Amino acid sequence: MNDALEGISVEHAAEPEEARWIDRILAGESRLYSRLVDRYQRRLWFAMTRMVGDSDEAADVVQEAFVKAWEKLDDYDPRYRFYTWLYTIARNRALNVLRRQKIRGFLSLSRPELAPTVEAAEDTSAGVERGELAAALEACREILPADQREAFDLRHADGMAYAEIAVATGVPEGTVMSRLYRAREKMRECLRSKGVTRPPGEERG
Amino acid sequence: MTDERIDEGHVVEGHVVEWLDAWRTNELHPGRARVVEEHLATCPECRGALADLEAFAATVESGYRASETTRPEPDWGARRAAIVERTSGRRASPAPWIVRWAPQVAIVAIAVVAIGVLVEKGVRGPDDVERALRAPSAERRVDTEGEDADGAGVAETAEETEAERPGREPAARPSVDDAVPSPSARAAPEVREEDVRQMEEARDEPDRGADAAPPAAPEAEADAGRAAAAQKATPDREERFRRDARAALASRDTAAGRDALQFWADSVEPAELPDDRRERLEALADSLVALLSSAP
Repeated sequence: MNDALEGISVEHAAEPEEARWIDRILAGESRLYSRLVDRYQRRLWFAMTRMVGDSDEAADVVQEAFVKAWEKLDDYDPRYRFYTWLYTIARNRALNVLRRQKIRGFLSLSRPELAPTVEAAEDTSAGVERGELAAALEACREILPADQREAFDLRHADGMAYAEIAVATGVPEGTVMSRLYRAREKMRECLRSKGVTRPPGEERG
Repeated sequence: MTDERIDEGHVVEGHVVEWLDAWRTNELHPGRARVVEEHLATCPECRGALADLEAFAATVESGYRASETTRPEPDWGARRAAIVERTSGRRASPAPWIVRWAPQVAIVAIAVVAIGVLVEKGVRGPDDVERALRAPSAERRVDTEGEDADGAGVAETAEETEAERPGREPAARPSVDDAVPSPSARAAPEVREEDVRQMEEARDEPDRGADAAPPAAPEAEADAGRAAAAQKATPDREERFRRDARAALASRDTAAGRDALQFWADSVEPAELPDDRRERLEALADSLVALLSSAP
């Protein structure tokens, strides 16, 4: 795992409760593993759906990632949060899926489901705004290079810290900062052009 | 006020702008945090950028939450049950050191013994190697005088090796470096002793589980069987893909390349392969895509 945590002071070690669970799982209490599944299954699925686009493929990736993490639990380093480690396992599988999608697409096979469908706008103005914002966000994400998009998703959708993103994506923290900065600039401009955010100075309430 | 003005006004400290997001969430090292704080105290533009950043992050995160609420979700109960089913058995304990490294230890031991044998036979160069390998039975007869099966030969060799060790009179064999003890005599016993030590440590290592590991559960055996079957089936598909892909790339035959790529998509499961094999196959697939992409 990436140890380049330069400039970042916050510790992102395993939460004490999870660390205790993992110790007990390694000691033989396998039933406790379901607690980790309950805690992170949905969150990881959202992350994988953003990566691979297809909800069912994402669910398969998540399932296989949990099984793989179980098999490799001896390799887990408690200096890092369990979810961050789990994400790296899922990410590797998702990259395989993306490669397969790319090849299938190239061969003109059935194309995978892409961006999620946004439900019909609700009656309230707030609902309409949420729908527009979600649609604009999805459209703007597509203009980002893959590495910037992933960093942006992990930061703003998954709530990961810089150090965790560095570990999850296997790059130094400085690279994460740079990618996020450029991603935010592009996203800000794109969202502004779609009318869902206001220019700087006017975005504040 | 545009972002460009902010960047222009703080080119030297442009990286401060990059640090603002990490600073606002208390993720900066104290040294860098101090730089940002000192800068913010004197720079209204960056203070404005910080406030804009807060608002932007809140808007974006609201958008993500909105898109998540509209996305059809899987049957979490069923997915959870599938995971639990495959993770409920006793986890396999890590293999003892000697089991995991047995192949490598065996290779090293064989290589050391082979070197020792060649040195014993006075091998100094490729010609010597060829001669030593060409007539092994004749060499043995010459080397093991008074042969009485292997015992006499071994004893004779051991005695000669003993004589060659440092501090002793060098042996009469002119082809042996007298200053260097026979590697077969020195290294082989060390390897054997090391093996014994490792095996003893592995034997004494406490099991991860509370009790000694029971026989593999039927589910685990079934999984192992499926995995073994997949491994047996995969090499044929791998080999076919590898052969077809290389042929297509060599001849720049786009039709053959398309067929190979179709086979890859339909039949080869790279996720199950070891990393080195997977990467090589994926590189071939990438090359095929590049070939087909470049075709007019």
